[in-house]
Amino acid sequence: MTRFANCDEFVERALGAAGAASAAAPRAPPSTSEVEQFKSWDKFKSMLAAINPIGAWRGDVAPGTRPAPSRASGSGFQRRRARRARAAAAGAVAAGAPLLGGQGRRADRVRRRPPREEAEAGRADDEAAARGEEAEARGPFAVARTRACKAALTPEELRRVRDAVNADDRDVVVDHFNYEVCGEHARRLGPGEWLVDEVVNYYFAMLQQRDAALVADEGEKPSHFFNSFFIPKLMGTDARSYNYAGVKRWTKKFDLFSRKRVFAPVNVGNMHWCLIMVDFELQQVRYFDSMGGGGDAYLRAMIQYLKDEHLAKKGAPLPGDWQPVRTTDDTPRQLNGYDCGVFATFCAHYASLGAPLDFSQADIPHFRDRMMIDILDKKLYSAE
Amino acid sequence: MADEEDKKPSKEAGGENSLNIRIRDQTGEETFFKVKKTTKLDKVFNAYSQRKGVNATSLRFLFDGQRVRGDQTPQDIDMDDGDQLDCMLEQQGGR
Repeated sequence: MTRFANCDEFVERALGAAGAASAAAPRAPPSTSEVEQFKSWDKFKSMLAAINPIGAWRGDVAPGTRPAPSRASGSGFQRRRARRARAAAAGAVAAGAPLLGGQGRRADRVRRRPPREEAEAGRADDEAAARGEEAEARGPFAVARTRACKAALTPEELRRVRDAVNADDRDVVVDHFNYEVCGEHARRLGPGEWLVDEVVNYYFAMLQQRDAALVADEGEKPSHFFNSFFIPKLMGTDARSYNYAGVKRWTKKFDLFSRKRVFAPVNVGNMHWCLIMVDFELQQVRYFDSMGGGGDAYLRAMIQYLKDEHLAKKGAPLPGDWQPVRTTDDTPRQLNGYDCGVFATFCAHYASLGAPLDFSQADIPHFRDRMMIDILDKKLYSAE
Repeated sequence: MADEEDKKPSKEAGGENSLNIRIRDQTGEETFFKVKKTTKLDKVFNAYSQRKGVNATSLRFLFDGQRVRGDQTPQDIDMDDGDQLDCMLEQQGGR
């Protein structure tokens, strides 16, 4: 992140960017009146938006649109960021998907900040970048795997999706994993529809299946995916009570504590889908809500469940210092009143691979098709 | 309890082949059924949904967290006498 000594320098640099981006000609030094004109923050914002709607000056877009001078004076972080942006752009192109969501949105947020908050924002982004790189280092294949689900469907696949979504209510579209997905459930994967438990749980069964394959191929520690009825059995339908006995036998066939992560869809008031995840490595219980809710009650109940489960099955108190983690700022958000089920399932998809949650509202229409075709094919699509 | 039944087999349920099972709904209310080990659970599910006055397609039955289908039998899923099935209602959500 380039630091600017004062507002004038900042404006001058931005004007330089304007020259480089629009004309790609050797830039003339801005006249004094031009500089004066952009001194107020509002004008500066509108000017930046006009130059480049996705924030080229932060190095957030593909190379070529970026002004040369800032690279010369850029910090190591800036160069790293540009490299990652290039890699992401190249990867997205390779996967046949447009560069979507996360980065553009982040740049958008950053652009609204006044300059004096920049230093702070830079630090936060630095940390985020470090986390991202750490994640990539942890699972070199994870990011590639999540990219597979963004791959476009063939016309034939799209036709099958359409047929399934338009099937008659009681027609069985697919019958697998002990789930009978009928037309009335498949229809919910059409645009603008709320998801039902049948497709969410079917998808979680496919996540479990993929997890088993990863365990077999790469010796990963297995994860476990509960179905959407785990939380209502544990907490009642109103999520106000707590009853460990209700789910005590759910783990009779395996040892929960030998798992890497545990996932459960959370249905809130028969209106909203979220996700809860237990991470045994980090000793965290995380909540993912595409509306940004904290999920405190669910986090508390889940930690209490781990304590009770450990006591019941291991005969000893749960070791470690368990942290509840409420919905983080980088959890993708829905921008409407119907897509939460898709957000929750794809949060589980990404998080189960240990990948960063780099998808956004723009990906959801495609993810609905992807969910449907994967359900019809009875396995998660992988490009491998 | 199972031993007792072995000693005096009931005509309808087929003696030692029969089980007493419970269906527990989300409010905690329990309904008891006596079934043969080889009877498809569809029969139980339909009787239960009729008694409750709900459409069978909006109910989900679980045994120890695992989804149970109508074409499975108590034997298929290793149910013992006195075991409980959970009956859950369809869930949906969008916002």
